[in-house]
Amino acid sequence: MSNQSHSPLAQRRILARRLIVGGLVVLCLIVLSIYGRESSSGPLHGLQSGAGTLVTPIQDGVSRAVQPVRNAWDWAKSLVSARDRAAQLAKENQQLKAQVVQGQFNSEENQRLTQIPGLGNAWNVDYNQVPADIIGWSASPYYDEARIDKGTSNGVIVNSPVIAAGTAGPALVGVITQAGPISSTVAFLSQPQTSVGVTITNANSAFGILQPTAPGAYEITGIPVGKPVANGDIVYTAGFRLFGQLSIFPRGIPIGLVEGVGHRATDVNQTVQVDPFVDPNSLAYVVALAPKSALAKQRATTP
Amino acid sequence: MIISVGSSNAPAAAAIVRGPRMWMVALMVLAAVVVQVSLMPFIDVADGIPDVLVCVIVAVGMLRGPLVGAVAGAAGGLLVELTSPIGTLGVLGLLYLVVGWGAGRLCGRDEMRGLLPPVVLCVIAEAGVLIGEAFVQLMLSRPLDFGDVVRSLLASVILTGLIAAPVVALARRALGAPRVIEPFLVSGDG
Repeated sequence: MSNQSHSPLAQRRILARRLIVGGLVVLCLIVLSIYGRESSSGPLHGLQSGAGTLVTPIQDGVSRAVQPVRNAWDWAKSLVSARDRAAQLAKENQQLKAQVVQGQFNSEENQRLTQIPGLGNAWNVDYNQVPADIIGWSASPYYDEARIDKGTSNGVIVNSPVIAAGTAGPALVGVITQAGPISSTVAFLSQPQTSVGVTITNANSAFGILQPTAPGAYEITGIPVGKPVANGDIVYTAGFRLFGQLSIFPRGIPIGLVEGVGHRATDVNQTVQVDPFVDPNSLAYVVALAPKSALAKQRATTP
Repeated sequence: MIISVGSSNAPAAAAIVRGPRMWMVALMVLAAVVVQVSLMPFIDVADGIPDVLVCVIVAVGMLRGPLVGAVAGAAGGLLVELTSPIGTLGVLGLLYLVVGWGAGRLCGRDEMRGLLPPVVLCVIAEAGVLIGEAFVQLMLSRPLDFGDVVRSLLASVILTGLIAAPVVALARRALGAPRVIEPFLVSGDG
């Protein structure tokens, strides 16, 4: 045995095996580091987008095939949580009734603001709404990403905002991170690196940065303690980021409801917990916003 | 490169043999990747996703040795990252490579003959892949909720354990007896 393992042939074999496996390890590490450093238009991202396009027909077929089973599964799950949902909906109903009065005032203010170019709630004017089926989900539980069946041929480009029907109408759910000719990849807001400039009109149009904290929960930071943020306030996209930079998201898309506000005695800013209107995991289709106006296209090219 | 095959525990006369169903290994990995990226994410129970690819990589490693296991793992992992909406490239390739290599070290062992040991190995491998992936997420400064990680890990591991037995049985049927494939030469053809 020992003679065999020390023979030149055995040593060559061991060396070759180590070279092959070591080479693969090095290849993976190189790919990993290049991919992490390059922009979304880099060659490896392009390769990923191209490969995704190749499997799109298969994913589309499987998605359609499993849809009835998925619907049945969702229905069964909804039965389990029906009682909790009823209680939650009753609570939301109370909150919404209270917001109707404030909403009338906001509506008038909104009409006045839309007269000012670039400030108005014009996301439904500046963008074409492209309905899309979700045809594939991330194979990793750590990524809240999905593939949709619309791409650049439909006007969907990288940084196109993505909305979906939520508990209170359309709400922001994510952004396109990769766009191929016939399919695109959506990164949902729950992705850890997401950050969105948001405003709470009920709180004197307080501005803050929304980021995910845990799956299904967001947090807004940067709102001064003096701003009267209250539970049940609606959080909208602000249309800009810190220091007034243009955001990729247009102004006025609802995201969720404030469900908690807090700060320590020494803090100058308060921390706001947000309950999103849409749970991405339950979606079967979304609406991608394809930029139409010059401002919308400018937003999409914002770095 | 000349590749020959042999049984790891039966050193005999050296023999160069054509690739023992290497096309089948490639086909199995490819099929597992397609199923993994198109069908498995829909079976989402408690944020867990069954991992058919890890079962195939473990089976390939167990039946064809560490080299083929590692190559199949790296290829399968990279293909999943290329075709599924995952925000990394190279991470799964690396993790599945380790799985394939580790499973390959057990190729031909007597204790791996039954169905239970490979299933346990699949479960351990899946847990390892998910823990490794979570570690990479932390290295990339992505915040992870510990409770959610544990929940999705447990769910994924259980779901993977459920599909492991039929996948390993199918792989054994497709690839036949365990044979270690090495570069250049291996003693015996098993």
